[in-house]
Amino acid sequence: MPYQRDLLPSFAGINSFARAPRGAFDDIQRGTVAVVGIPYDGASTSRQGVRQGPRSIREASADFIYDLQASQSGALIDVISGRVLNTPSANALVDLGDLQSSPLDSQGVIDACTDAFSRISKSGGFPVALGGDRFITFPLVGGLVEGLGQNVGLIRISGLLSLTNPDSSHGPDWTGSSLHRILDSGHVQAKNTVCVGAQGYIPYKEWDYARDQGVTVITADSLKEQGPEAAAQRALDLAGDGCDTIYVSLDIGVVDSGYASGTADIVIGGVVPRVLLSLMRELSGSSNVAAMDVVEVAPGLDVRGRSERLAAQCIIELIAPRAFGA
Amino acid sequence: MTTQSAPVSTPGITTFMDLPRGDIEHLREGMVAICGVSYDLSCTSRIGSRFGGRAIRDSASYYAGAFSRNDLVEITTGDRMSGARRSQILDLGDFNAYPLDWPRTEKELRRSLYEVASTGATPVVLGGDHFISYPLCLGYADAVRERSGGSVGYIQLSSRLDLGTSDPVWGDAWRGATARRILDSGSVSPKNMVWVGVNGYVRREEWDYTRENELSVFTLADIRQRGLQSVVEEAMAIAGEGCESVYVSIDFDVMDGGIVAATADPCFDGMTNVELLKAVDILRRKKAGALDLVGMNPTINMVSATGQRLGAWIVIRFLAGEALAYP
Repeated sequence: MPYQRDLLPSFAGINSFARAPRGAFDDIQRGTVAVVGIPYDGASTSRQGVRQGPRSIREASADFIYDLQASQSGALIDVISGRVLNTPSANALVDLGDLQSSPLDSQGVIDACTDAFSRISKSGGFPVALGGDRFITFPLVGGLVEGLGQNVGLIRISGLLSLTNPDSSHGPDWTGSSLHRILDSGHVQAKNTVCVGAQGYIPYKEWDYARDQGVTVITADSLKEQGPEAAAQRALDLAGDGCDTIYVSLDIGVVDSGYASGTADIVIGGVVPRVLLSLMRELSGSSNVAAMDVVEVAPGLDVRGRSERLAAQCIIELIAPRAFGA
Repeated sequence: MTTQSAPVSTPGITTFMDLPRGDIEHLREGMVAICGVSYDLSCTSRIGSRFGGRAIRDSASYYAGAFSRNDLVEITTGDRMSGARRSQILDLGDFNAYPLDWPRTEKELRRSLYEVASTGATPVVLGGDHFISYPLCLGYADAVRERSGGSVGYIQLSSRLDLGTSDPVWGDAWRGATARRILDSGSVSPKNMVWVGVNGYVRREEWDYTRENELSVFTLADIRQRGLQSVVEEAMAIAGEGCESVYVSIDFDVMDGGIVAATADPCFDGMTNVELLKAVDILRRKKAGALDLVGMNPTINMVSATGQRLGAWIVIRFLAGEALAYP
């Protein structure tokens, strides 16, 4: 007789992402969505607290998933978009726990991230990373490329470009240079790189660099004007031009701080959740999307607990066709 | 020299806008009764709406000093609220509720609201989580039936449908079953039940139930497409058709969580504060005969305190159409 014989309320129990079973790398089958946490904030130079990100996203996801588990039909419906989420089938979704992440060992984190995304994608799984600061996108993209043995396209949803050349004060391994590092690595070509949601002041050199290299930038205002459907299609077309697989990275700092203050940056005039969730829903429709991360969630900076909840729902929207039969 | 003018907020018992305290025996036809229900144990996630009534009263005291000396004018609607009619509104304090005994609480709330409404006064209830709307609405229907022989409609502004039946963890008494329990009680006809502001994911069986039973549901998308005024007017027309009056329940989770997050599960795309106040302006001019504000959890945004202030505004805007309107 198992210890827990019945469904627990949303605030009880040990939290895995969406209450998925705990899994190991060896359990991953073709199509399995595999979640890993990377509680690393050693590359962050702004407001701190991202190391609590993975734990908080898992906890927030339990609140959302409880309704699905408790529903008699085994399904939730979004009353506006009509999207239906069903109870995941066996092996559709597993949580692998957290990777080795010492804030003082950036090389160890780079290795762990690369290895994890490489192994998951090699097994045919769909890796999902819970960050962590946005530096980790660099080794995670590298891991995906290693696992698949081919270059990928990148859709990076962030208020910033992170295109600073490694500088003297922060060294090479910091959040502000993460996209520069990705482009330098050659794993992603600039023409397959799409930055969505950039807004506010950024260093002019970064803007110049993006234009010189041919990185596409869809600003927050442009996203609002053209709508998430058109923006998603454009991003998928560009990122997938000559690439079969696309990596989606979501920096929660793209969201207006009125909705999600739990992140290092204070964003005025950022993307609103309705648009972001629609964007994720649109991106989820592409079978080319092969991996994702959600970074920069710092729950301690949002007493209302909304940032991690939004992060969890964004992941659920993106993996919905794979894990929830949407 | 002693203080000549009224203090901004009187020390001692904080009533809504420092209005006089009263009891059921003091209520007369046409008066307004402010009541509280400090009960939140049918909330399935973050409790704290038990402090809702106290927080709204506390926040409303900001207007008390000015209101006691002057008429107030609402500069967007032009409503003038006459200080001379202060005596038409009484704060009854909180109804009895028994945190660990829902059946007793249910009976007590139904009886309490019945007694208040039987006097002909308009009840305004500060919750409490959303499940209290079920016995309160039934108590209101009991009183209206007895006084006029007529029935009541029910309208809820909430991001959810609250049409759940039994939940595997919570059983029958939980906030997600509020509207279903009202429906199943037979006190309100399904034809007169209306949902406004529904958005996001809901349990599929609840949505299917609204389709199968042709219930009147207006989602947030309806509000965006058709405009708030058209939706709320139609909603009130449906709820009030053939009825003596309408019981209105405002669950704070209908609010956009980016503007006011003072509820257990704030939504990512809800009504704005301006829209919600406009909705109150519209429904108070129609058949709204009782109002509750539920799901306001001040502990979630204690520092900015916007939830309780919005709660106070909703009540004041509602009252502007009743006892407070300038003669």
